[in-house]
Amino acid sequence: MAHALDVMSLLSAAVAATILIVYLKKRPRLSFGTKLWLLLGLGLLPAIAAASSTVAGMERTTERKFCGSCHVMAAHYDDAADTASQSLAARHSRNPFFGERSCYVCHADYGMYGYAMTKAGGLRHVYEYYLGGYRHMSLDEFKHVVHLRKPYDNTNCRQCHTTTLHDWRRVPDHVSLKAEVESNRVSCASAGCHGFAHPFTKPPAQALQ
Amino acid sequence: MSFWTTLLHGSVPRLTRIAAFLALLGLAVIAFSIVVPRPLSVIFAMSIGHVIGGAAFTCYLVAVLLDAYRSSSVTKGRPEGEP
Repeated sequence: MAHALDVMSLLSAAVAATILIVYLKKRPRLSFGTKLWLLLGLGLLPAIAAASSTVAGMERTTERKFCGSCHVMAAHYDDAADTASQSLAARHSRNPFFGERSCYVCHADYGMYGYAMTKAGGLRHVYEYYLGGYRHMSLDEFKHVVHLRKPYDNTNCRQCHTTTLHDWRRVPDHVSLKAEVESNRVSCASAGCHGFAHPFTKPPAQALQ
Repeated sequence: MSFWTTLLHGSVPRLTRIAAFLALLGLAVIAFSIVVPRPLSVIFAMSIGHVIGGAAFTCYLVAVLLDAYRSSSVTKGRPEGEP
């Protein structure tokens, strides 16, 4: 969908720009007809270009390769794209339904305001990258210094892996830890459970657990 | 001279030209964010690009309203019966 919106946005922008350039070059009298052409070139077409580029831009910010466009995310991106990797992130990234958007799907806040809150969090990432020093940080330094602001919420896992299905309940550890999982006292992505999502960010001894 | 006085006495074609320049700038920002979809360009297009576009359309609206206002003033000033 983003591709079609990109084309629509570029086309609208091109037609609007043509109208405006012709107007600036010819400088006709501001008759009713000129006003209508300008309404098209200054109002309608730019509005279509802005709206479609915004939707396409928002869509694009949910793609894995967009997250990987900052160098500090290179290790996360490479691991997620590695078909041989068995990390939780890589296994989820191979999912045909959302694999290309795995960063967003797993890290987006759940709930009614989840989308807006996630976008606000993304703006903070951009701030930290350009003004907070991440940009000049080496990948190795970043992997060990920067961590999630708040503990990973199991609700994000439970968007898909519901705790009410028989398949989930037939695992004895799930049953015994249900309360802890629901209250986030035990993380699904912990060493004793399903393993870390990004094990290379953990100290070697911890990552092997 | 206040902003409004300047605006009301400004020329309509000049205001329309400013609107056209601003719109071209806004469109360039939007097009750049599509061609180079990096975080900064996308955020820039969604914020500054929209502000520039909004300013362009406002200039156009002011120009059209100013033109209509001046035309009606001229018509009112004419003696009755004169077209």
